[in-house]
Amino acid sequence: MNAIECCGAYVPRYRIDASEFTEAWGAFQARGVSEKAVAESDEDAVTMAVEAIERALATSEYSRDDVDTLAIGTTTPPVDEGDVAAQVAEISGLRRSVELSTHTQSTRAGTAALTAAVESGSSLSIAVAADCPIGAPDGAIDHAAGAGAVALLIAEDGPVSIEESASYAHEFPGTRFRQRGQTNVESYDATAFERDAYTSVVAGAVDALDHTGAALAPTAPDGSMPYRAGRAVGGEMDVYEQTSSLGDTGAASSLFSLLAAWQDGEDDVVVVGYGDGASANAFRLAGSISVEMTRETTSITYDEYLRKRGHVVSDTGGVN
Amino acid sequence: MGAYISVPTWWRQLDQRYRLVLGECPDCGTHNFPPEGACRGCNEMVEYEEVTPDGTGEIVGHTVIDGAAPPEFATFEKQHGPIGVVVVELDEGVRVPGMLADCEPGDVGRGDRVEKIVRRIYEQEGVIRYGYKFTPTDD
Repeated sequence: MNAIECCGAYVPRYRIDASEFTEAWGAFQARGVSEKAVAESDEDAVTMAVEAIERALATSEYSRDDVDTLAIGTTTPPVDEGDVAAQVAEISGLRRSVELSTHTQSTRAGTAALTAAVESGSSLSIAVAADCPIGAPDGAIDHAAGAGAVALLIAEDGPVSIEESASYAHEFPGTRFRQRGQTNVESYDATAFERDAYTSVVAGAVDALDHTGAALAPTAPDGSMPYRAGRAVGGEMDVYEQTSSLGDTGAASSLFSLLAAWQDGEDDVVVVGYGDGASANAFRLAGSISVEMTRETTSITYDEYLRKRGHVVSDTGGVN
Repeated sequence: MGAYISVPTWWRQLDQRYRLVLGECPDCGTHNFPPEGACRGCNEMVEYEEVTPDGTGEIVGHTVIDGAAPPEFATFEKQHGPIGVVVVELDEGVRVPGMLADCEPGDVGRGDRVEKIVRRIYEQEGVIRYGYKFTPTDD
């Protein structure tokens, strides 16, 4: 099993423009983000994962009954303990014998799920990353926070072959984290330190591959950092991200970057899932898949944004 | 006042709440929802064949709840605004009740096409209840 057979992406309907934040706060702190997706208050990582899986299966030659393994990656599981993968499998109508795993605690969770799906030895696996990060409303993390999900079907054959993979880890304490029992993601906020963590660990994972691809599709905490990573790997690779238009999709953002590379015709892509702390997985992928991502959108105001995300609702604890 | 549904009762209905699983009558072919009791086509007590529909259909009844939602929906109403509630006739011919999602509830009505999606219905006693809702579609 070493190919991506098909994929599906889901982005919530609602969009907010950066100018809404500028009007509310005097400044918009998310670098390189012009607009972002906002989940409705009845959406979460489970419902978005289900949508992405549905879309992937709709374009697959396989059916839901063929799926042996489901691996989910998210930093925003709706519960701290409880098997969200079992919920996603049940809603999606997968077989009772399906092998499940949930990967979390890091935006690397998306590629951690991909690693689990690839290494499962199953004849058909799903890796799905779904996320809707939350931060304090006056900080850069929340200003950047978007929402979305991407599902990849991993099979023996498919249009995209998985050529090789590599991992890299180096501790950088205090970079993006969420305290136990808390809703808001935070960081120590030492800008140069955080940039160093991101660029050196992404570059470390890319350098650990035997061959460097033509395009780099990294985790994108904002619309600016991926291009710093591009310079850190030598400046030869074309860099892709979708955080500039979808916001920070957390564990899903490296896979959204991958879809952007494919949409642009790239067929030699290195996707790098990065998580602060810090660690990264790199996969070099040959081939491409075209993914339908257009949908009707509705623009919302900043006060609608606060309500949908639960920032100003007393009894939700600030969770979607 | 809300209509309390215990978690075990909700759990027994998951195939219907998640995937709208219908019962097809082996005698007359009529679809039934939920798949239990006498067939509405031939009035016989039968063993239904379970069928998962595409989840598309047409709105045949429509109202909007604005400000008086049952307590389990109160937080959602605060965050979301007025809630569209519909009866949908699925393409298999059965009628099912549901909530609208991802639309202005007053902008859709009888005769409009909708499809099934799965969302949070509500959270109660710390347990998140997921289930189908309907959203407008061109299909």
